[in-house]
Amino acid sequence: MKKLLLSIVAGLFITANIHAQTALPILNCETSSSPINNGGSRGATDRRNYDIANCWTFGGVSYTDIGAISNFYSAQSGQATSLLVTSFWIKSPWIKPGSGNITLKAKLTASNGTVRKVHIAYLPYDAVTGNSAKEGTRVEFNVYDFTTINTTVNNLSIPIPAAIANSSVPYKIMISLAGSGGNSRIMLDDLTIPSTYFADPLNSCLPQVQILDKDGDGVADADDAFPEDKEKAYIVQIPNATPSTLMFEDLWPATGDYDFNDFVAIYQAKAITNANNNVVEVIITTQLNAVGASFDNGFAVQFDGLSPIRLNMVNGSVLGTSKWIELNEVGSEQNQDFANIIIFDKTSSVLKSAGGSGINVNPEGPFVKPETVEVTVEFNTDKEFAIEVKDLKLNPYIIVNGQREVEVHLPDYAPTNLASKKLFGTGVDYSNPEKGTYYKTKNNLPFAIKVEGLIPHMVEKQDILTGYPKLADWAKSEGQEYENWYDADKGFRENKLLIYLEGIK
Amino acid sequence: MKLKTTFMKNLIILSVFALIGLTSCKKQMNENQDLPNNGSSAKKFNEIKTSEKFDWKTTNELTFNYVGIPTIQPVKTTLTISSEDGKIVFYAGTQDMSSNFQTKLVVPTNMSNLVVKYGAVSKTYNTNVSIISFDILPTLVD
Repeated sequence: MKKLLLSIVAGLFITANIHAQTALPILNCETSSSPINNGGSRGATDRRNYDIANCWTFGGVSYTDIGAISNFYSAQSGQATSLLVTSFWIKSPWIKPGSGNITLKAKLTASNGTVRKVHIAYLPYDAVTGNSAKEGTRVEFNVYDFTTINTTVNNLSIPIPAAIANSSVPYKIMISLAGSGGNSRIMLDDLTIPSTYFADPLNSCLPQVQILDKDGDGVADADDAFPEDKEKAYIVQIPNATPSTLMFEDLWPATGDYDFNDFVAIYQAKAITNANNNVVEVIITTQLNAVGASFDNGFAVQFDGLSPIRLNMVNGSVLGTSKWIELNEVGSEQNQDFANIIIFDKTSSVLKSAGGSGINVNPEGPFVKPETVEVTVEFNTDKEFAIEVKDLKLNPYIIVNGQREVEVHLPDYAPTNLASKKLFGTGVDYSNPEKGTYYKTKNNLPFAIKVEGLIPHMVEKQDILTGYPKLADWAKSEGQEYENWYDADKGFRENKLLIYLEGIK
Repeated sequence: MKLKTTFMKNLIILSVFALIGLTSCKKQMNENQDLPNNGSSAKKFNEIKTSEKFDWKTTNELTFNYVGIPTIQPVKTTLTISSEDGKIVFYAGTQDMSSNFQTKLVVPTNMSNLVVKYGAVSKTYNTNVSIISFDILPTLVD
């Protein structure tokens, strides 16, 4: 067996990062960090990178495949013309030394030079006065002198000094390559140190520390959003569902007034995942801000491509007395191929008008405090049903005025099973299901817009271009110009035509 | 002398009016500059014509690659991808240090940077790219 064998001695270190305790770490200069097994200098770099990632450090020492001591690669110093032990060196990761002998092979690249030596030392852990790597003062315990200057391979075997043998505290072993005269380099290979690997590659290669993990799910408490619940670990934003402003026109397939305030909501969705990265819950938060319509529209979200059988339960939907509501046993909508969650059946179930036409669309008021609906969708995490965040493709839409078959979606988002396909291609709609284009006019204009961030909505009956003039340039340039057309800081808004509710900037 | 005094008086009055006029013009010009309507050709939404390819999204899609590196022992910890202020977490999950991983990120167009953290390694990436490749290799020490 070749090389540095950091044999695992007894010692049980419970950490969230390092799992196996029986590996046989080797510094043989042969394992590559690249999946492509490169040769030459690239291969040398990849192999040294692997060892660096595993917490070996090098000073003036490279890898080479020219004249390797064993197999394909060895480590080598520069021209060994310095007697300083800090010119050319290799340091091991933090280890807990065992007992027995440190072994290595060394040779010179040429038969010249006056002096060539290998110094072997240990470095104690010193968190107080040590350097940035917490290394304390170097203690040398052996020097090997190349008594004959030639290219013969020398096998070194040096006992671990009693002072550190079988220690319960961490040390590093430092090998220095020194010399004077000539230009030969010192090569090194097959280094073994009987010890327990004790470095943490994910914590700047410092010694392993016991990491708190109260629920034992394998995720450190510091990273765990639910440190006392082993079924949950992380909270992440679902793609395409970062906090956004949803603005709908509800006369589809007819043309509207394009004030995009018939339905205005702040919408976002987050997923809670477990330590296996499976989705445990999805939380959909909808703050209904404005209703500039005479229609009483519902709001729902389809999980595109996701069968309802993956759901355990839906909680928090606001369902009034609408007769079109049909739910299955877990609370998603019945007769749907993909899971559909009704957030609320109609805006009047959530926001009550304070009088006048519409809600929160007239600059003179009266204004109503926006209401938030939070729906939690619990997912089945059994292996055959489990999904990951990348499987979540949310498709928010409105259900127009209690007509279940009339839906309005964001541009190019597909309708649900329950939408009437007969409406496509009527009015000004130019959807083409065969091409996967939906809810757009012949000129590619949408019936709904979603803007990342919280932006003010239009005053009733005011065309959206009067409040956001740069929207036209953004659209006509296909997104190349004025990509922040809604940005307040850039002066792209006509504020007197916009409604700013609390929290909207 | 009287003629000169009258002339001076008229000159002062004219100067005052001119100054007021210029100030007003300047204010008017500034107000015009503040108007966001400048340069926008369409005045009504239904006058806009865009290509069928335009998707109306205010997000960019990026591919994120975690490049695994073989380890002496199995090592895993939390990989997170977030906005610079940490308020929006686009990804968080347990990641094996030696395994490759790829995911799609959907990032608001007005967000210019993303922060990737894995253990003690933290790197910031600009979002004006289509692919982000992250590895934990430290800077080489020579």
